[in-house]
Formats: sequence, C-alpha cells, structure tokens
Amino acid sequence: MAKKTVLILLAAASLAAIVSTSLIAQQDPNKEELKLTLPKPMFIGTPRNIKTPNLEVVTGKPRGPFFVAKGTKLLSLKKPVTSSDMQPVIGELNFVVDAERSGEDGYFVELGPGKQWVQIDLGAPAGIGAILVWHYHSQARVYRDVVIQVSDDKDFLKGVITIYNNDHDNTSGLGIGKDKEYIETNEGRLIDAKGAKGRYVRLYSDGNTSNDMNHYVEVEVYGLPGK
Amino acid sequence: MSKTAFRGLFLAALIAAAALRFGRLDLRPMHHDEANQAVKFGALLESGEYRYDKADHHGPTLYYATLPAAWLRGQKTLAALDEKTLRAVPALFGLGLIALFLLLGKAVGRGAAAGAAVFAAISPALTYYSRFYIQETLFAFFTWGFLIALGWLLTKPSVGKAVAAGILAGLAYATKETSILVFTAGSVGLAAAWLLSRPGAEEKRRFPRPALWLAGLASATVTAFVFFSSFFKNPRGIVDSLAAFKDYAARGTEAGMHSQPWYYYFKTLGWTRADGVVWSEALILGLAALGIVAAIGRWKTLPPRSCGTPVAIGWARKFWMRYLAETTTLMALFYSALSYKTPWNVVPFFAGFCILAGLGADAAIRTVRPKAMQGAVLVLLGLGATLLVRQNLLANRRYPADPRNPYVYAQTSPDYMRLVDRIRDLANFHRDGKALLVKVVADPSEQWPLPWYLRDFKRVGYWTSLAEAGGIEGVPVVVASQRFAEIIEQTASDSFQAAYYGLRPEVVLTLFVDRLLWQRFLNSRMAR
Repeated sequence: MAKKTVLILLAAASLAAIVSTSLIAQQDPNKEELKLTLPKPMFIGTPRNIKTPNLEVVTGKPRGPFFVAKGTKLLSLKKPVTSSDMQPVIGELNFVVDAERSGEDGYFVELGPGKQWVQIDLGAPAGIGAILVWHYHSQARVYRDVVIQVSDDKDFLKGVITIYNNDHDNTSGLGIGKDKEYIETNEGRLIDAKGAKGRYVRLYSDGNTSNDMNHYVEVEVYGLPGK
Repeated sequence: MSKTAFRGLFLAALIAAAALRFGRLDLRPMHHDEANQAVKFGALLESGEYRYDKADHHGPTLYYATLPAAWLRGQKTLAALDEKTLRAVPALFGLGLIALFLLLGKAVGRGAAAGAAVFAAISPALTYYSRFYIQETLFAFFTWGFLIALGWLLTKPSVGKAVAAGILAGLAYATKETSILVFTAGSVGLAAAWLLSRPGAEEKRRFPRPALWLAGLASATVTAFVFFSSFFKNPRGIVDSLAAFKDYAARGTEAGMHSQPWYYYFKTLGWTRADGVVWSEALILGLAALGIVAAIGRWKTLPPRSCGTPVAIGWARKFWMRYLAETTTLMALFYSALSYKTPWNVVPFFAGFCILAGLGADAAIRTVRPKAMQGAVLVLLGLGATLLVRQNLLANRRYPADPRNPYVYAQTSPDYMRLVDRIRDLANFHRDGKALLVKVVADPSEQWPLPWYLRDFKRVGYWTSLAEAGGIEGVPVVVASQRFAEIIEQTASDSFQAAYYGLRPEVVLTLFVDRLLWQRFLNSRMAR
C-alpha cells in the first residue's frame, strides 16, 4: 500500500514538473528552449562525492531545459581567442571555439599553471543569454576559482560584468563569488548570463584538483547579435 | 675523440646537469616520503640524535649528508629548513654521479664516457629523482662509485682502489638495504666478465691478491658500522641493519599496493602517453641495447678513431664493456623480478643504461659506413638529445607534480598548497598566531606531508580518530580526511566553514575553520 502511494506521488510530481516547465515557456512567448549538443560521457560512475558547502552536489540526473530569448544564436563559433598563456604546450587556443566537444586527447587546450584566462572576441557587442563551458570532462575534477566576465573593453579595465564567480575567498582578486564549485562532466557548465551586454567574454580559472593546469575543451557563447 | 673534445663535451654535460638539477628546487610540493625524511633529518639537525630504524626510512647517509648543506645555509632547526636545502643534497649527488663517468674515459674510451655523461645529464628520470629528497640518487652515486672502483681494482689493482671500493660499498649499504642486489649483480657481472673476456697470463698475474679483497671488505664493514651506529653512539644499529633484510625481503616479494608486473620499469621509461603528453626515454634504452650488443656480442673489433681498418680492442676494454653490460643487465633483472616497484627504483640501474647508451652511441658512430654517414648519425643523436631535454623540462618544470608525468608517484597535489597557504593565512588572523591550535584527524597516510609544512606551528596535533583527538569544539582549525569530515559535517557544520583540498589524486582533505575566524579572514580578503 505504502509503495503504491509513493509511486503515485512520484508520478504526480513528475507530471507537475513537466507542466510547470511548459508553463514557464508558455508564460513568456519571447523565449525558446536553448538546444545544446553534448559530447559522450568520458568517465563512468559517480564522481567522488565531496560534501562541502561550496561544492555542488552531484545528482547524476540530466540538466533540465534552459530558456533564452527567441533568435538566440551561437556567437562564439570560430571567433578569435586570446589568452594569458598564448603558447599552450598542448592544443591550440582555437580549440576553445571549434565546436569539438569531445573529452579525448587532441580536443582540449592546456594553459600553464596558476591563474589563467581565455578571452573570446565576439566581433561586436551582443546581449549574452548563456555560456556553456567544458574545461575537461574525461576525469572527475573541480576547476578552482572559475570567474566569467563580459565587457566591451578588451583589457577588462572598465565596464566589466561578472556573470559567474565561484572564488569564495577572493584568491583571484576579482571579488568574492557566491556561485558554487562543480565537478566537470560531459554536460559542461551552463551559465545564465541574463542578457549581459559586451563584445568580449573572459573566463578565468586557477588550476584544478588534479593538477595546477587550466584546460578548455570548448566554450559556447549564446546570445542576440548586436543587442 | 680528442682529449679537448672529450673535456668540452663532458664539461657541457656537467653544466647542463647542474642547470637541470638545481633550478627551482622548490617548484614541486613535498612528497610525503620527502616530508617524512625531512622531519627525521630535522631531529638530527636539532639534537644531533639519529638512531637507525630497521622497519622504515632506509639508512642514515641521506641525513648525515644533509648536515653540511643546512650548516652552509645557516639553518639550525627544522623550522628554518627549506626545500632548496634538502633537495640540493640529492641534486649534488646526481651531479656527482655524472662526474664519476670521467673515471670511465680510460676504461671504455672517451667517446663512450662522454656519451654516458650526456645521456645521464639530460635523462628526465635521473634528473627528476635528483630533485627528490629520498635516498635513491645517493644510492646510485655510491653504487656506481663502488662498481667503477671494483672494475679498476681488477684491471689495475692497488690498496687505494680496494679501500675506495670498500668505503663506497659501505656507503651504498648504509644508504639502502637493496644494495644487496647491487653487490650480487656487481660480483656476478665482474666474475662473468673476467672469465668470458679470456684474460691472458699478464692479466691473471695482476689479479688482486686476497689481502686487497680483505682491505676492501674491512673498509666496507667499518664504513657501514660508523653510519649505522650513528658514529659509535648506537652500536646495535649495525645488527638492526642486518635484521632489516627479513622485512625488506618480505616487502619486496609480497603482493601489495606497490606490486607491479615485471616490465613496469621498461614501460615507464620506454613509452607512456597520458592526456596529450607522450613520454619516452627509448633513445637511451635503444642505444643501451646497442651498447650491450657491442659489449657481449660479436662486435669485438672496433676502429679506435676513424673508419679506417678495424683494430682489435685490448683486453681491458673488452673486460670493462662486458662488466658494465652484465652488471647493469643483472641489476635491471633483479629489480624487475621484485614485485615491489616504485618508479624511483629505476635510478641505480638506469644510470647503468646511460653508460651503456654511451657505449652504443660510440659504437654506432665508429662503425657506420661510409664515413660521411657519421655526421648523419651525430645529427640524429643530437635531435634525440634535444627531444630528451624538452621532455626533461616538461617533467621537471612544467609537470613536476602532474599525474600524467610517469615519474610522479603518489605525489602531493599542487592543490594541497592552497590548504597550507590557507592555514598560514588564518594564523595571521588569530590571536595565537603560529600557536594556533590545529587538529589533524586522518589516517597516517593522509597526515603527511602536513608535519613538514606546519613545522613552525607550535600546536598541531595528529590523530587517527575523532575520539582520540578529544573533540573539536572550540578548535579554530581542523583538517580531516573524508571519513572524518563527513562526521564533522553531520555534527558540527554550524560551527565551521568547510573547504576541501586535493592531497593526492582521488584523496581529498577538508579544512574546517571556526566561523568567526573565517569571517575575519574573509573581511580582509574583501578589503583587497
């Protein structure tokens, strides 16, 4: 009897979730679901479950749908990339925006140790709806002090908007972040940019829990061009 | 090879070796074995006390050899020591190992000896463990010092060579218990080389008399006794060193976490690929194989200088080549046969492979026809050496603590240094400063290398259970392994701010900081 009740409750909850999701989409006719292409998973099993307040709990469930303004496009594909480390030992900077999302050898760029950044020039100011980033997803690891900023200034000296910051103790000197750290998976990290406006997107990190290097498999910036 | 060219090449090898070994010695976080040795040395430095421990830590030469380095840098306490002082000691012996090959110039020819020096200087593996505060590089130095002295004792006997061989054998024994493998390989290699190189009447007449062998044995025994007895303070140490063989023999043959297949060392050195980085010292292994063929195969005649008419090489040269090839091969086989394997165990026999690679390169250059092709062989060797130097820089400067590096083994993660830095930061915001109470609750394997990094903190305690630690209420800083961290989070998460740090791949430690202390620290960071 009790088992039956639980099953009914679960079914009701699932239905409610589906209905509410569609309602959200229906409530705002200017929005549409962002269609994402994910690479195949590279590690099997649940990553070590580190339970600390600053690390997101791994649920193992797929990410839900994400809605963006109608007309949103992938703006970063094959756009110029610069970095604090212009001579990576492994890979090329253009790997960051080459639409290759695989976690295997030959698809990631490795930047030097410590705090490093990559910067994508979208070519023109845009209203950014979402950023999807894969640092490295063939091993369960956490990249430290991930900070993502948008600006119209290529040197990021003025008009800087921080859209993600999980540096909880200001190690990077970019301010204390409230976002959580997370374990890399093939789903990448989808960040709600909330329409932040700018031509340049800069992504910082400071090593990871496996080594002190910084990696990028792919970064996808979605937004409305010229807005 | 002319004397001038030999001197120039050898000097270049020494300069390169010094640059690769001594630069940025503090770059890699301390491995837990290094930290353990460092703290043990600290006790000798501060109190002058050392007692051989037959269960662990190997012999005492590393600690005694570190004393002059600490004195030179004016460091009189454990707290005053640093990584540069400690790691400079194996680095110096690593340089000395290459300098020893000068003694092979007259034995195997100047070209082969210079080649050996170059390969040893740029070998990523030999460089990596020359920057590692453990016994291995000292052991390789004493081992090859002994083996070279033994070879010279047989070919040109004298009391001085017998005593030198004995002292070096005693030092090798006082460094690592596995010296027994080296002594066996050296003795069998020497005997086989003597018999198979067919000594003439003159060589037989010059064979060292028993008195010389006894002088060598006495020197070895006295040297070993001096060190194991802590310079006569603990005579029992020499007995304990013999008793230790039982434990080390069991450890070497039993299945355990360090068990590896027989080909582990050759695979590690030959070819590994991980996440976009390829590692290989196959050039040295390949040339060493050529050196073995030259030494014990039918390659008995080699033109001495040019590609003119082949000239039969003398008995002594044949003996030396066989002796080095057989001894090195036996060492590699013995180490490969033991199930216990750690990558730093390659150092003693891989130094031998570098010598054999020198023989191989020399043989290749001398034998190639036509003469103009010698230049092409030299160019190829130069290209191979350039690749080795590049790998050396990657292994020792770019990826010194990266699990992709094949010489990295249970290495402390760079992420761990954030934990150390954070505790030091927190001490600045606590009224007790470095007398801040820090409780570390973790299994022993997860406690190290913290005792090294917090060596100047006055109140750090290490426990293997929360009960033994006497509770954590009111404690400003707690470091816990995952097992204990989960308990603390369930029972006291309101009192602490938690953050996690990688100790080694797949091993995480959690730092718990009293919330008030954390807030004080955070306020200062916000003001930056």
